[in-house]
Amino acid sequence: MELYNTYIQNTIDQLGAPSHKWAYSARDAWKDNGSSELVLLRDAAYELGGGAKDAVNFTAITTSAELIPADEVMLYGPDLNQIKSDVPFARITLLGVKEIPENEQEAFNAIQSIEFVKYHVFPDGYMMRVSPESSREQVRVSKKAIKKGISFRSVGCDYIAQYKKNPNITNVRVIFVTDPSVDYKKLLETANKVNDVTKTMNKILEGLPEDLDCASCSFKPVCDEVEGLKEMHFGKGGMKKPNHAK
Amino acid sequence: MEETKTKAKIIAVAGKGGVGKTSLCSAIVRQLVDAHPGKRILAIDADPAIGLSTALGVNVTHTLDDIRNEVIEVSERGEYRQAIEILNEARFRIFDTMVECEGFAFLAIGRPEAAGCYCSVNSYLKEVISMLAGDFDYVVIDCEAGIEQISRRVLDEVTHLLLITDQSAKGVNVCREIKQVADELIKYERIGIICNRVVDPSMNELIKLEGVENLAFIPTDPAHAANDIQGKSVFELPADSNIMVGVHEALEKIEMV
Repeated sequence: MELYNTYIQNTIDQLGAPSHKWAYSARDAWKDNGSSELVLLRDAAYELGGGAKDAVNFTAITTSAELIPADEVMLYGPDLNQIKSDVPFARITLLGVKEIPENEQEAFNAIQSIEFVKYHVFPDGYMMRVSPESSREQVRVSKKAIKKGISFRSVGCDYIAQYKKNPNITNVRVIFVTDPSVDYKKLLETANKVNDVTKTMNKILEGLPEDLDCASCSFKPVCDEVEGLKEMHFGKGGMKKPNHAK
Repeated sequence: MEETKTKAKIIAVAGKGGVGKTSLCSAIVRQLVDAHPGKRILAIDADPAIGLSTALGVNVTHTLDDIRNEVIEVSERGEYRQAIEILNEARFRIFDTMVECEGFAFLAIGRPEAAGCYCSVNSYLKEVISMLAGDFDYVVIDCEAGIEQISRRVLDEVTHLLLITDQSAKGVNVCREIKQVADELIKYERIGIICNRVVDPSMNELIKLEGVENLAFIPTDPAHAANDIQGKSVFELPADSNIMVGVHEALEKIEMV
């Protein structure tokens, strides 16, 4: 799985060295509620990415152990206890995975189980709202959670703990960005491209019509740009090779 | 704030159009806000006539119908979306639609711009109630006039059904019809009737529905009329006005205050 490698490398290059970096420890994971929680504005200390602030989210997968060598949490900018009002925000999750199965159904299931986690992490007092449509993620952090000592390290460890339940995932890097000087527009561009790849891959794995003419397919620009998607498409048993890929 | 999700008390206010449903609904919200500071209260304007926001003094910019239309627009563009993404997108936008006020939150279902069937937005409302109910202690729904939302099972999760009538046979008949449909389709815990705009108290004995508790008879309220014409919200209504006193009496009977 190397579809996202360029985007992962670009992100690493763009962000450079983090303000803080912590190795994963299951003991440091923040309490997870197991289901979504409503943090009303009156109970919130602030909202990460709230209002008109930038708010970016994406998840990228790779089989490269070099790109994601360990389970770790990285922070660029102030931590949760240092933030006093709404700030721009990005959360980027980079997942190291084992080879995705070649069998299309198994591959689809493997991707789906990884995708599932993205929407099923519920740190206590940390209400996430994710918009797949706009690649945004906004988080209301409760005053109570701040008092209890919530931090990006503990939230990141919760994410990693949830992802590590999936046997296909080897390493997880959770990156939080709150530094206002970071180029969030560039991160959003990457997020949109990553999300396009994910959508295209899901569509291919879910099944495309056998007589599909690639020239009329809305995913063609993504397939043309990202190496590996066409191979994934051609690899499907019994499918005809699309015309444009000759 | 509660650490764990509790079962919300979901109050649906239903009845014939023009009997003062929305006024009483706003008074219910105010009574709950006054009686339960710190509790989470959600008011839903499910009536396409859109009056509850004005009665509560809420400025609404987005409605559930707006979200529904945006989701439909994406799907009509033929863009690929998985169910989990659609659900998360809806959840994301619902919180932009919800207005948080002093003591309560507010959601409006809106008025579909296109002519025709209103049932699709009702289906959406049903999902929203289901999605949000666990996050609130009290949910108060100002229903569309008549039986539509009951018969379409929009109000499946309602625990308390409050029927509103005036001293008219038509008003009582609509309440009777609502009860009959609700008995078949909703597992409510309590049902009661409030008679509003009472002109002749001697006629109150005629307001009877089998199996329905009479919760209050509220005389015509000049204070409310004056409040309304001046564009004031229910929170500016004197506490000893007929509506506030009558609604308090009704809520006491069903152990809400």
